[in-house]
Order: sequence, then C-alpha cells, then structure tokens
Amino acid sequence: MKSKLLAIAMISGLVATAACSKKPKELPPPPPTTTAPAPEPAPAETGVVTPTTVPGSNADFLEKAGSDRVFFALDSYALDSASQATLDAQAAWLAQYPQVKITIEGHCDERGTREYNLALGDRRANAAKNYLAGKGVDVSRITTISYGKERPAAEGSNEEAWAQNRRAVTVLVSGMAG
Amino acid sequence: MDKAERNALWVAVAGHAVLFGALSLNLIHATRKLPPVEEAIPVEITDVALQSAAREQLAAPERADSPETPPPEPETAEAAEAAPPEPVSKTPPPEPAPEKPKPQPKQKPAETLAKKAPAPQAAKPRLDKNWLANVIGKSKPDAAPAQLDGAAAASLGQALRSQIKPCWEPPTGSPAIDELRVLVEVNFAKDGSVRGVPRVVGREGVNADNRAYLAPFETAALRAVSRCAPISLPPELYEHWKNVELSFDRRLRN
Amino acid sequence: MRMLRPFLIAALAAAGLAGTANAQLRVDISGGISAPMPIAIPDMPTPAPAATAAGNTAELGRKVAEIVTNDLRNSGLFRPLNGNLPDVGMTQVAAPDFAAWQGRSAQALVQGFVQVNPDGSLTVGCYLYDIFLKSELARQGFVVRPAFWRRAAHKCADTVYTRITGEGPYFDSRVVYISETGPKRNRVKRLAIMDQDGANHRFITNGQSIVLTPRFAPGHQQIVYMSYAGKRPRIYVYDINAGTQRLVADLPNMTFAPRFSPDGRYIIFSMATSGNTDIYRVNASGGGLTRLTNSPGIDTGGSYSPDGSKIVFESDRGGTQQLYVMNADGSNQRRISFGDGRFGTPAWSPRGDLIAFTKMGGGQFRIGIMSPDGGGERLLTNAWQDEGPSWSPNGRVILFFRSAQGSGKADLWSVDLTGVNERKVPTPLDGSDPSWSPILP
Repeated sequence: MKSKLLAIAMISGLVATAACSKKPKELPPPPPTTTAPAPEPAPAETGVVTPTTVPGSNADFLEKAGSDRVFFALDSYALDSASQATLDAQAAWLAQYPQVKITIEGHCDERGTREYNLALGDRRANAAKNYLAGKGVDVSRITTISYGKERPAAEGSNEEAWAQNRRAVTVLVSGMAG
Repeated sequence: MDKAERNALWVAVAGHAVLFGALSLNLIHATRKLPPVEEAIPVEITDVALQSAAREQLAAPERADSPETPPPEPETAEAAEAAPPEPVSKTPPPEPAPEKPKPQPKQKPAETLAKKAPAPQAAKPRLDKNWLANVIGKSKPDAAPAQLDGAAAASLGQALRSQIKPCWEPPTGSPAIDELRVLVEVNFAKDGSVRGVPRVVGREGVNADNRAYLAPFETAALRAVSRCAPISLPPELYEHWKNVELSFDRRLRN
Repeated sequence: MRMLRPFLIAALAAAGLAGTANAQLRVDISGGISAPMPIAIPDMPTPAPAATAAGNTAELGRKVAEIVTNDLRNSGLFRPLNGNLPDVGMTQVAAPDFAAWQGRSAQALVQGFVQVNPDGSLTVGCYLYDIFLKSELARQGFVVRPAFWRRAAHKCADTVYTRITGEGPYFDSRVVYISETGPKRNRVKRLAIMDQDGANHRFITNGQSIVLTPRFAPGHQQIVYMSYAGKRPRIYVYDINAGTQRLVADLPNMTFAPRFSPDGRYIIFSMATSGNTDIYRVNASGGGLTRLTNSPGIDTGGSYSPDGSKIVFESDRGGTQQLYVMNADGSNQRRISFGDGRFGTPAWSPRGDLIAFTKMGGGQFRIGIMSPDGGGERLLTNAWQDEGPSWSPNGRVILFFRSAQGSGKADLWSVDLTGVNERKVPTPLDGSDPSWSPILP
C-alpha cells in the first residue's frame, strides 16, 4: 500500500514537472519541437526516459543548428551554400553559449590515398573553422583534427556513402550543458 | 683440263700443302688455347667437416653480439685435414669456368687464325662426293682454306641456335642486363655431346648497373649448353661444328 | 688426271682439315626465356642428432630446408621440386649425386647440414650446386644462437637466390605494418611486426589509438610512425629492443607521413598548419626543425633516394596529386609525373633505379613504377584499390595493401617488379601500410 502511494506520488511528480517544462514562463519561447510526452507511466526498471532538450546541451546544438556537419565535393574543401547555412546556424548557437569549446573533425572518403587524405581532412576542418571564425566564433574556442579516411560515417563503396563521408563535423568538447 | 687449268691446279695444291704444313708447325701464332679435353672443374670437395666458419655478424637485432669471433673448426667423425675455414661473409661465388677467361674481342671466322690442333681427332670426316664437289666448285684457287660457304654456315648456325636457345634463361632483374654479352667456347663430340666443359672466353658490355648480374649470366650461358646437349647436327659437317663459339645476350631480336 | 685423283683427294682433304682448323662456327643466341628454375632442396642432414633450445637438429634440418623452399618459391623465380625427395646423407652434402638429381629435372641443388656446436650455438651449412654443370656455385656457413635458427635458413636462401639471379638478398628481413580488425567505421589498428615470411609475428601497440604508416629506420632497430594517442595525431619513434616510444617533435599541429633518411640522421614528415600541409625535416635525435616545401598545395609522402641526395614526394600544387623530386635540402623541386591520372605515395627503390607509386584513375588505384626522371611508367597491378608500395631491401619486390570494394577489408600483397608473382602475404588479421626493413646483418 505504502509503496503504491509512493509510486503514484513519484509518477504524479514526474508528470507535473514534465508539464512544467513544457510551459516555462521565464525562459524564451519554447522550441518548436516537442519533447516526447510520457502519458503512461513505465515501470522504473526498464524506464522510457523522456528526453528533454537542455539548453546549451549537445542535443540543443543539434536541434538549433540543424546539423553538426557539412559536406564536400570530391577532393574539395569548398563550402557550398548549404554548408554555409549550416555553419551560420552553428555560429549563432555558439554565440549564445560562449563557454562552449568545439573540435572540428575533417574526414574524407576512401577514394584517396592515406596521407593525402589526412591533409585533405585537415583542409576541410580548417575551412569550417575559418568560416565560423568569420561569423564571430573566437578561434581560441576551436580546435581541429583530421581523421583522413580512418573514420567513415557510411560503410558502402558507392557515391552515396562517399558523399556522406566527405565531411567536417563540429563536436562540442567542453562547456556544454548536460 | 687444259694446260692453264692444270698449272693452276698444281699451284693450288702446292699452296694448300705449304699452308697445311705451316699450320701444323704452328708457325702462325695461335690466339687461343683450347683446353685439354679431360680437364675437370676444380670443385673444392672437402670432408664432411665442412668449412663453415663462424658467422659473427648473424646476431639477431635484439642483441648486439661481439662482432668478431674466431671461426671454430667443426668436429666430425672423420679425420679432416685442418683446411682453413672459409671466410663466410665475403666469399665471392666461385667461377664456374675452370680457367680465368681472358677478355677477347670477337673475331670473325675469316680472321680467325689457326689454333693448336687438339689431341688426335676422334674420326676423320667421311668424304662423300657431293660435299666434295661442292667444296671444289666453290673454292677459288687463291682463296683461304676451304670453309663452309655463307649459306651452309648460316644454316648450320641456325640449327645449333635453335637447339641451344630453348635452354637459355638469363637473369631478368634489370634492363641493364641487355648490355651484357658473353662468349662461350664449346667442344662437341661427334655424337653431339659436350666434350670437357664449355667455358666463358669473353664478355662485353659490363657496366656498373649490370656487374652484379655477370656471374649468374655466365652460369646461365654455360648451363644452357649443358642442358641442351647433346645436340644433333650433320655428322658429315662435324669438322665445322666440333668447336664452336656461342655468343649469349638477352636482347630481343626478330 | 686419273693419276692425280688420289693425291687430289688427299690434298683437298688436308685442305679441308686446314680450312676447318681456321674457321670456327660462331652462333649468336639472343633473347632467352624467363621461367622459374626447378631446384631441389632436400632435407638437411645433421652429423649428430642433438637436442637444442630450438628442437632436435635433425628436425631443424627438415625445417631449414622448408624455409629455403618457401622463400625461393615465393620469390616467383624458382620452382622447388615437390614431393618426397630422397634423403641426403652427410657424405653427399659436399659430393652430390648429380646424375640422380638430373633425372628429376632439377637444374640446381641446395644441400646443407645443421649441427650443434660445443657452446650451444647452431651451425647451418648451405651449399648450392649446378646440376648440369656439375659444379658448386656457392657455399656459406652460418652460426646462430638456437632461437634465431630461422635467420640462418633465410640467409641460406639468400645465398642461393643471389648466386642464381644476381639480385641482392632480401629473405632475412622483417616487415612492420598495421594490423586491422573491426567494422569499417571503427577499425581497430595495431602496429605489428613479423619476419618477411610471416613468422615471429607480434603486436606492438594495443589498438587503443589509431596508428598509421610505420616505417623502418635504416638500422632496423627503430620504427617511425604516426599515432592518434591522446587524440593528437603526431609521429613517434618506437625502439624495438627497448620497447619504448618517444615523440619525434613536440609541435602543436598534426604531423604525419614520416620517413627516415638513409643514413638515419633525419626524419622527414608532413605537418598540417591551418589547412596547409608541407614537408619538414628534423634531426632523428631531436631538434633542427627545417622546412623543406612551402607551397599552398598539399605536399606529403616524402621518400629519400638511397644515396640521400634527393626526396620524391607528392603534391597537388598543380591542381591534382602528382609526383615531384627535390634535392634533400628542399631546392630544385620539379614535377616528374605527367601521365594520365593522379599519382601518390611514392617510394624510392633501395637500388635507386625506380620509384614506386599509387596511381589513381579510371575508378582504380594501381601500383606502378617509373624512373626517377618520370619516364618508363609501368603499372604492375590491376585491382580496385591497391595502395602504399614499399620495396624489399634488394629493390626487386614491392609490398602494398589491397582493399576490397564495399567491406574495405585490407590485406597485404606483394608483386615482383616485372609484374609477375602477385601474391597475398598472410597475416593473422587484416593488414595495411606495410614497410620492409633493410637486410638484417
């Protein structure tokens, strides 16, 4: 009996606070995306965790910027307009959370030799870094690293996979929430 | 035959006799000695106490062994004479040929001067009349001693080439090997087998890029002769192929 | 005339004799064929069977013959006789039965013996004979501590190989490479070292950090390579004996693509600074950082000529990856590759006569060779992605790695510089980035 009451109390509290987080009064307008509502209480052991986007967190960054990565044409390190738009959004978010430091990883597809790809990955990472710096992100907040072709995102040997692998990825390394 | 012709014939005969005599007496300097037929290759056959000296540099990379250890004499059951141990690391490969070949320029058959006649001929050539008729018909009175004419020599050479060439397998590791040419002298018995051993009598085209290939190249040339023997050539022409000089190179010709 | 005839015949016969004595048939034999030489390598007897730390000498005699057989066969230039070869007794080792071997169609014969010396070391005797010439071509003896008996077998194979082919030796050598395993997106890469025939394999790093492009130092005691330890991609030197590693240069930027100079005094490498990669040199003992290239393009992959006077490298300063040669001090940089396609990963042959490279084009990566002036380009392989050539110490065989389309699975392969004998080199796991050591002393 007692444990059942406790459970009900806990669950009510959870639902109440969940509801609270949906309608913050002090904070800026809530983000358009919804957090997953958890109408049914789940057993504590298996726990469906209700994700909530903590501002300044990695998830928040991904939501606000839209993407943590930009893509490149073969052998290129030029930023096309889509890439620039993504980096603009990243820059805006980074401006909001000035304590956050990032590493930009540069990557290549497998259709290049080992050492050249390390250098090309470095080019791509620096292209993204320079663009963000141009948008006001202090360079002291940005480090770069190239992985060449060592860490592909997609495993195939085809144009679709290769296009996904030619990328620069912005990784939050410190100062983010959560 | 008229008088003029008869005189001419006598002159020719006399001239031949004089020349033959002169050759026999070796008045014309021999340019090359033929090896004695029975000479064997000097193989250093030692006892089972094989001269395997200390290989002092064979320390593994993990440890530096003392570089110079005195070469031990291996013990054996047989009483070996204490021959000096071979210096292992720097021993150059032994020459396959028994003698040091002298570098010689190539000599055309027409200029080849007489050699010392070798040990008694195994057999006199059989004279068949057709051959003889050919020789008479083609020899001029004042010409050099009768030889095979161009066409006959060519076809004999081609026959010999086609029999030796399938065994010719030179080293392959560098284009500079194309510059090499090696001259091998061979004595054949009438049955086509090799008498004695073939030997290198000349080499050309050695340069810094192919020097390392010279010994294997020469060995391959000698081996080609030994592998493709016995050869098969017309016995009636034996006099013309009992002693031949083969020139080996790697260039591709037609 | 009838009276003259016998005289005539005799005289002309004499003339014929004299004529023959003058004329020597001369025959030119050109060209020739190239075929693996049939060679007999029977088990090596022992004068006295004895136990050693490496096993009984009788068993070692069998194993030494097996190593020699495998080395020679894998070179592609020999065809060891298969099957049960007759036993060779000690008396035959220096006095072979040529007729018997000739009957088996072998052209050469390798015989030897294994014995224990009073101090516990092993002596391996090695004799090479030409069966048709019935002559000894070479002999060598090797004294080793029992743990290193395999090296004596490789030295014996090298003795045979060099005498027959004219090439330098390469069997007594090692290979360092990157052992790979795991999914394509997250490969586990470990530094590994083995004898060139795959024996004595051992892992040097544990796979926690990505390691790439290891290269032997000329003294074969050290390996220079690139590691992502601490998420900072930099180059290190690993001492094989001591089992320790040290940073080559404490620089803030990514350093990679390292190689030793032939005299061991320098290490050249690439450094990426703010998106630009150039080639630098540093003293192997530390210090002396010198910049060798300074172009806006990617300059990487430097490899010294064996006399240490020049460096070949790759650069895309002209728009695409091509090969360039410069003096060792960085002067006189000139392009040498002009064929169709892109060229990378150059490696200068230890013989100095050729540069191996990866050529990219037509959807393929292929291994090729060219002269140091760029002429005579020849492609040796023809698969989807072959990359990263490394020369054997005698400049005759090229190691590289081949990746499979799709899985990206990489394996080590080798090929003769004439293009023949392309074969997979067995490794315990997958492999890439091979580097061949010099000949061991």
